[in-house]
Amino acid sequence: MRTDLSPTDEPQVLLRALALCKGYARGRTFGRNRPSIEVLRAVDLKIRAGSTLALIGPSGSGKSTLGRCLACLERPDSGEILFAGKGLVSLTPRELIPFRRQIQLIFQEPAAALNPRFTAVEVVSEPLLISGRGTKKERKERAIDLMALVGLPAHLGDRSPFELSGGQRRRLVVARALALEPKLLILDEALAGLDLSTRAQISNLLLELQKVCSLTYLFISHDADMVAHFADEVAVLHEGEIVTLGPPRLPVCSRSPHTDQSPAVTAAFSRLSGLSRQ
Amino acid sequence: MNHMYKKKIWFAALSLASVHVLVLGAGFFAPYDPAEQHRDAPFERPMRLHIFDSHGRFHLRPYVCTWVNEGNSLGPPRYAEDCSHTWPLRFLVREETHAPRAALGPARHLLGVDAPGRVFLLGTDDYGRDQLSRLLYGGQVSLFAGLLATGLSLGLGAILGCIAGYFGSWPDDVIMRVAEIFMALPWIYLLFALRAFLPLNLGAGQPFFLLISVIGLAGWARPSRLVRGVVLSAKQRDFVHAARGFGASNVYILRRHILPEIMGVVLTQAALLISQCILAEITLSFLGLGLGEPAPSWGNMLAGLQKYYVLENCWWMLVSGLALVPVFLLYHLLADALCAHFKAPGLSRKGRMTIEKLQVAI
Amino acid sequence: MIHFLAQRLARALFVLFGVSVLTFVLIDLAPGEYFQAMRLSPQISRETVAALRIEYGLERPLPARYLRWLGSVSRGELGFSFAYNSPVWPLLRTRTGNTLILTFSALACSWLVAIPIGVMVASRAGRWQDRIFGIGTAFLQATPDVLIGLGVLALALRVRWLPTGGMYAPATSEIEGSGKMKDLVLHMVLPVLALTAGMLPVLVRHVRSAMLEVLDTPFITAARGHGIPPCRILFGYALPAAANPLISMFGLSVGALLSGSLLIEVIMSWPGVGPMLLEAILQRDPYVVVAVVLFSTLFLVAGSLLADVCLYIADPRIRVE
Repeated sequence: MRTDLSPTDEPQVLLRALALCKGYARGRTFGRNRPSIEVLRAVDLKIRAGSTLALIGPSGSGKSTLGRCLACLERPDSGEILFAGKGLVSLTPRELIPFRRQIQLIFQEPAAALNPRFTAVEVVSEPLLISGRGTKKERKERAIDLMALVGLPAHLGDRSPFELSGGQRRRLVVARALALEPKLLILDEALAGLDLSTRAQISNLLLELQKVCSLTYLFISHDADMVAHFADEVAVLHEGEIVTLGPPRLPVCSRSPHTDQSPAVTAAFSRLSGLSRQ
Repeated sequence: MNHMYKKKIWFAALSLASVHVLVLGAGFFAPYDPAEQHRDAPFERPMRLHIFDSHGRFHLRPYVCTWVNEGNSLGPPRYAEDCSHTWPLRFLVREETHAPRAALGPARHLLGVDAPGRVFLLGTDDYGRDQLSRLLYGGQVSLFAGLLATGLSLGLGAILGCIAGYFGSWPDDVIMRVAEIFMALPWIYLLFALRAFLPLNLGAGQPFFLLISVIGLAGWARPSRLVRGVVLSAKQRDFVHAARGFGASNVYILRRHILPEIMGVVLTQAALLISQCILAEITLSFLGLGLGEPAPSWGNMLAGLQKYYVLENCWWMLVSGLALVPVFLLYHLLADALCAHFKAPGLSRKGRMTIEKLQVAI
Repeated sequence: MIHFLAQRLARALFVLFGVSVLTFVLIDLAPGEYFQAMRLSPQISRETVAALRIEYGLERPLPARYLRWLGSVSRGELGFSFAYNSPVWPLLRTRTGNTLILTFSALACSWLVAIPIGVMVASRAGRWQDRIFGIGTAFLQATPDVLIGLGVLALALRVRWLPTGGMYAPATSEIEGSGKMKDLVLHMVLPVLALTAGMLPVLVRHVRSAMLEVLDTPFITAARGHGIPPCRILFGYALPAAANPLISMFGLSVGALLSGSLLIEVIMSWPGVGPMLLEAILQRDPYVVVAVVLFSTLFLVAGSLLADVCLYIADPRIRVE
């Protein structure tokens, strides 16, 4: 693992995570906490501006938890998150708001991430409403613009998310995430559960948006193949620790492999190295 | 399928609304004042309305005969019909001047007969008070006690349930422990304990609201539990996380995302809770712990039936209890239809069983 | 299992303690007290009343009175009744027994009737038997308990087959053994009938819905396919599978019956805790009220605890959780 902890931040690094730890308590028996499950152990990450970092790992390795911590939806137990040089962990929720708007999380299950009682336009304009930008008319126009940006026709605006297809819902979630012009998008299994053609469409859309809106992506997935052509760098998460970090082309491993590394990790790794040689 | 439930909901709601309008208009619909006593006619039977007289002639305007008490003053009253003098039914009669509330009530009543005739369509009680009038006025007390007490229960329960579910940690613990204590008591015992807190004699007027608060306070625990459950699951939804990610305040999230979710539960519970609260008022009044004399309530109208003589001979005194049956049927129909209406978009099996459990009047 | 039981017991104890505090505070804060009538009487001097109040400890602050009452509970007296001038427990003992006899009989009766009806109705769902029973239970459920009690009593008065009040005939001291038992049963018929009629609609409804859920499952279809006779399927396969919600319902029905029995006892002059509670409230006898309320809670909590234990034994899924 590259342990590049120089105190002066390189200007290209947008997000840096330092020694993040997070555990969950398993409920309470008469007020005493039962021993907690450690999900993240001393995770270090670095994401350069404008690039895509892929985070892969088997189920249960803590990827979604890491994503939520970086998106400031949960507080890590210890460690630091630096966004454009500013430490986020010690901020109050109020102070955190402007930073949260710049980091957006795209959830795993779009159907769950959309309130079925809202219309599509309401969904996309919700962030604008919350942050108090523009009048109702302006918000609606911006929402329609955003929908057009992700390839959703305007006439879908009055429909409920339940009336849209899976691919359209994913586009809607992306449109909402872009409403406040974020710098970093954390995509949690954004391509999972889609058929091949839709998957290709969505990933092309994401690549395009990255260029157009100059976005940085953290792409979380359990499938190494999916991220292979997507990512500039790959980090592998195994049981709460980053075990490898490097570009997909070079089989970099600066830490000697653990003897008890799971077959999944080894397989993923070898696949990545194999792919890079094609 | 949804159409069936919508029809049922509308039917039940409209029928109930008309019943409420009827009792609200008791001043117009009732022939007598509920406290007006006719000491010479205690426990008089319901009078028969005649259209054909003894000669077989048809009268367009129905009439009643005089009923004479043939029993002696010491024994039980026995009434016999004396058709020598008949009293035709008049509609939209003017208010009689000697009635106590002449100054306040409406100027006309729906029906009545000329003085000194009397029309007791549902008989009288031991003080000779017209049961039909008492039924209508009593309905005001019982039905609206149910509505208002439910409002209190649900309001309190929903607020506390939201606080417990949304904010978690110690408010949740405290509220749920207190709710558990309230729910550990069998319903009637809780009602009695709360009622014992108030003075023994409740007249009419302001003590009515005290009674409502007692009944309302007895029922907040279960709604709060259910609302808390809904709020907890709504809180975990990703769209709430997303809204927080945009910087939404708690108030916004509660108002825009969580409140619509609890409306379904609240409405379904309302229909069930109203009938329970009416039942609570009836029970308290029947046992003498509710509204006191002379204010009529469907409960204290039944209290006279605790004497065996009355129970055996004066079947018309049961009318206030019988009036409750269609009211409860309508409320249960409404509750069922609302349950089905809100169940439609995939409520979990556990959720359905929870709603079914609500229907136990504990 | 021990852990589960210990957890539930601790919770139950906490609840009982909480109920005792709640009731005590409510009754104590109530306006008016037992000696108020005495104070109005010109024949009793003010000093006597004041002395009586001090003797009974009514002058002390609320927490002190509560602690004193707790001490009395630990001694087995459960406080003191002003009206009867005696510790509460001896008064309560027979009354509680009478209420329990009634409640348990009604519990057994209603479940024993509800289960066959519910199973039958579920097996013929949608057909005329279902509809008839559906309408019948709807009407019965819509009838308030007061009306059911009064109606049953009115019917009995007309027919004159059964005794219509009280627990034993006045001359019971002369009857012994089986005669006394027969007399008791005769007196119990009406109250148990009224209580059962009140509980039946809700129970039948629950049994029906629980059975309908189970009858839809593949394993019942498979059993039918094997040619197992329908009666055996219903009672041997489907009913045990539907037991889970019914056991929880059992716990809740104890509470409902305790509430119902209070009213029926008053209407039918059954010497249980119901009339005693009513009397104590009207007379402002605080410790009796607290004791009766606490007892009713105790039985409700015990009923739910029993249901929880039964569920734990019956359903392996709960053990895993």
